[in-house]
Order: sequence, then C-alpha cells, then structure tokens
Amino acid sequence: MRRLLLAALAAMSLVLPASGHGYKAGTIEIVHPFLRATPPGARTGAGYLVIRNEGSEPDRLVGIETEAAERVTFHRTVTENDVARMVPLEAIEIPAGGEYRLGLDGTHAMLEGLTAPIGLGQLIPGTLVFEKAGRIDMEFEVEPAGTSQEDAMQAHGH
Amino acid sequence: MATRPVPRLRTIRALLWVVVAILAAVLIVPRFLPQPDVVAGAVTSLGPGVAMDAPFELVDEDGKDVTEAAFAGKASAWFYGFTHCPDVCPTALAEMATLLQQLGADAARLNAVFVTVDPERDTVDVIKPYVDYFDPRIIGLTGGLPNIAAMVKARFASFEKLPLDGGDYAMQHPASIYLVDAQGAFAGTLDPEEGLDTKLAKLKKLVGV
Repeated sequence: MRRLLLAALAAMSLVLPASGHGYKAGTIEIVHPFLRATPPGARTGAGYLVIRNEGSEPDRLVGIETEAAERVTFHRTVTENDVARMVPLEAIEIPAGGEYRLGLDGTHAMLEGLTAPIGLGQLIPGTLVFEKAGRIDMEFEVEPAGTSQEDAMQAHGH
Repeated sequence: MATRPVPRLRTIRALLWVVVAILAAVLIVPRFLPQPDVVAGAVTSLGPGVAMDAPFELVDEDGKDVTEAAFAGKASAWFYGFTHCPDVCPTALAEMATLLQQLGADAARLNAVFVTVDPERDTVDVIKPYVDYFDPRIIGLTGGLPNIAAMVKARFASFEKLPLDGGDYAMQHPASIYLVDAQGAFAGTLDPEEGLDTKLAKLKKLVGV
C-alpha cells in the first residue's frame, strides 16, 4: 500500500501543477488550459492555453486528444476586408525560452464533433501531444462562452 | 519671311487648344458625373444611408416565415455567422448579450439578429437553442440557401464554404456586425477589434439614447 502510494506520488511529481491552474512537465509549462462553454446542441468548441518553454530547444504542440470531441485541430482566424476565415495551423511552435499564447491573434484549438455540451464548472480531461516533450495529461477548465485569452489572462493574472 | 511663321504658330496654338479641350474632357468632366457606385439608383457598395431593407423571405428561430417587414421601423444589428464557428461567432454573440444587458430597457429599441450562413446544418432546431443560450432577445434566422445568399448579397456582405481536413467544412463570413437604423438605412458596423465601450456608444446612438 505504501509502495503504491509512493509510486503514485512519484507519478504525480512528474506532472507538477504550476501556480494556479497549470501543469509542468520537464521544461514545458502549461498555463490555464480552458475551453469555452458551449450552447446546447453545439457541435464545435474552442480551446485556449498558454505554453511556456524553458528549454533551450524549440518544441511543437502537434495535437490535443480529448474524449470531449471527435477531433481537435488548430486554426487562426484571418480577417481581410471584413471577411473572417479560418486558416489551419499544422502545429503550434513554442520557441526556446519563449511562450505561445493560443487564443491571441485569432488562434484557437477547434474541437470538432463535441460528444456533449461543454458546461461551466466542468473539468475536461485531455492530453497535449508535443513533438519533443511527449504527452502531457491535463484538464481543461471551462470559461463562459465569450471568454478570450486576454480575458482569461487578466482574470488569472498571467 | 515675316509671314511664314504666323500660320505655323496658329496651327500650334489651335492644336494646343485641342489638347486642352481633350484634357479638360478627360480630367474634369467625370468629376461632375455620378459616381460609379451610384449609377441610376443601383448602389453597388456600402456607405452611410444606403438602403439595407431589401425584401427577403427567411425562417425565424421558431420555424415561422419571416420577411424584412418584421424588422421595419426599429433599429437593428445584423450578424452573419454559423453555429459550427468556434471562435468569432460565440465571441460576437456573447458580446451582443453583454451589450443588450448594458442597454438595459433601451435594448427593447433594438433588433439583434443572427443570420446563419450555414442553413444546411443550422436548422430551426439548432439555431434557436444556440442564440437563446447567449440571450433570448437575439433573433436567429435561417432558411433556404438561395434565400440567405440573396439576402446577404443585398446587404453588401458575402459568405463562402471552406472545406476542412477530415471532410467537414467551415464558413467564411462577415466579421463585423452591421447596424441599420429604424428607417432601414445602413448606420455603420460594430468592428470586432473595437472595445465594448465603443460598441455600446454606437448602439446607444443607433437607438437614439
């Protein structure tokens, strides 16, 4: 029993929660990953997060896995002549010693084919897949439907 | 000797006047002609006061037929989006809900309308719970694709289907919210980049507060 506990503690220490709602694995830190609450019947959701890379090599977030949706893809909304359209992003590049704020400049993770509405107060488990840092399990918090990355950063003091 | 240059000078002078006349015709006269976007009443571009109440036949969120007449005589704010839109549309609708709250009782002087540009997926059953989630006062409109295409075009906007990886699709759609006054004339836009205060001030002006 004690060994199991030790193993569990050791496993937990690999993915240490950072200050507030966040996760740390190796040199990668995930700050406040959140999804927007969705209206009843909505088939599409959006996710946002801040990724910090304290390492000396750049890394790439190549995917997000979650049972909440059939598929998660990255996009940037580009607006030209008042026409908004989404441009796919293959991966999210996090520079060495830098950070990437998914949600700024029209960027977002799009959850396609929601399996259920995303409700306020829920914690939605997911796995972030990095090219170098590997897989990081985490939970998305849920923010109100119109919340932007700017709103979230202000509210959480990041 | 003294007489020969005179006809030549006359010819040059005459030619110069011809050049002046041609230049005047080309450069000055068009300024007094109607502008190309307002030819014989057929307006082809958006500007202040342009009519935004062209007839349409759509379906409201309760499944009832609706025409432009339902929105006549009251200021209105029009957003063209789709419910499979992850980022821009929920942001715009959540902001519209906040603005309606901030307008308080004056919100009754405004029709806030969400027109889907994806009627294939946004049926009455889909659009009603979607817009009502943000604010029940927001009116959702859907209908036949040709009807929506004609209506959006008549309001100087456009949309287009964009395929996504995996067989799904997204819609390209107007980013701004179009404001129309109680007389049915274009009265500016709510730009997504503007702060909420600016948007609220524009809506207050629109409804005459």
